[in-house]
Amino acid sequence: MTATADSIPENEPQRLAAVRRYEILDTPPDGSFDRVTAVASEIFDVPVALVTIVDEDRIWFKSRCGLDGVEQIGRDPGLCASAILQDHPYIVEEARRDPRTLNNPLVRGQFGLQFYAAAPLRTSDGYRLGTLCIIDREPRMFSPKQAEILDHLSFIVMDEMELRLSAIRAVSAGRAT
Amino acid sequence: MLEGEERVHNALTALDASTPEIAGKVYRQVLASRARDDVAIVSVAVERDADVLRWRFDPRWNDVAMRARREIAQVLQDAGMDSTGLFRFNTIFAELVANMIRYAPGTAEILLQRHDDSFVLHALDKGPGFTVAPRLPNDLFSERGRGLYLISKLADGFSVDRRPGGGSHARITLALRGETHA
Repeated sequence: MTATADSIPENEPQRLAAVRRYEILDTPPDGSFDRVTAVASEIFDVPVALVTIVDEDRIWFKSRCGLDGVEQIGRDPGLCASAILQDHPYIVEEARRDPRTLNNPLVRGQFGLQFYAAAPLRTSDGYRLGTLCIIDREPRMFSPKQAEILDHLSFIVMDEMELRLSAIRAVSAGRAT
Repeated sequence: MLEGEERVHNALTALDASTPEIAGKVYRQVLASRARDDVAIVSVAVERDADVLRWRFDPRWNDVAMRARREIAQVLQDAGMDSTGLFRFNTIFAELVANMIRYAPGTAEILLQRHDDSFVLHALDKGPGFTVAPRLPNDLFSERGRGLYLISKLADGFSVDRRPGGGSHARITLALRGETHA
């Protein structure tokens, strides 16, 4: 099943091109991203924190703190896919009662997701590649101040991705000469 | 969630969509008046029951703790609690949160259980547990010990137990009308 139409950004082809540009999909775990998810899990006291990249038909996890054995999920469940539709953090405090998520398989199914907060990973040219998100299996209240800090952490993730991209470009430029 | 609670939760949620209603009936019929705290927790873990409301937050974040306080106060006010009762609640809540920040790191839960003429506020945290001082500390301006003493004096009932999985569970009774308060 593909992502539903209302969870696809208008500029999806260009956004996917931006995702490809960073050459990060299916790369091995990286300490700098893992540190950010570890910090997010610790300061928000949540069991799971992820750096996700929203690909054409899947959500791929660049870093997953507290979630073993799952490297990606389909795009269809739509939490991260929905989160990249807006520039500010996307927050679901009680998923089973939230009309946006109550029918989501991650919420209704075995995983039992109840709390989800995501800050979009924004490129300098305005594309949202994925999210830094935190997850809990129980509902929780999340404050504007906490959302702001999650947002700041997403900038750190994005800085790291820009650095990575610069390094890739420097290496390929070196090869070209 | 504790292991036992999780098993009950899984068993109940595996039934079907009407589980919250079933759980609510079991909860009301088996434990008509004074539910034991672990059963209350299981009930709300299954679904927010009509008689039990739940707030789960990290008390270190002041804005979210204040939001919880406002929401709980609204429920109490809607149920007919007068301004004195609300003042008592606000003071108790502030002392509870201050206590959690100092001694119980991480996420805390507040459950509000409705009875006929009172509410029981359950405060669950992951702290090392505490004992209630029977009287005020010698230094009235000392932060230590004052909060729980205040709570015990302002509440219509107050007890603290250790939770089986660690942490503590405070029960605070708030009468809807002031007359039962000593």
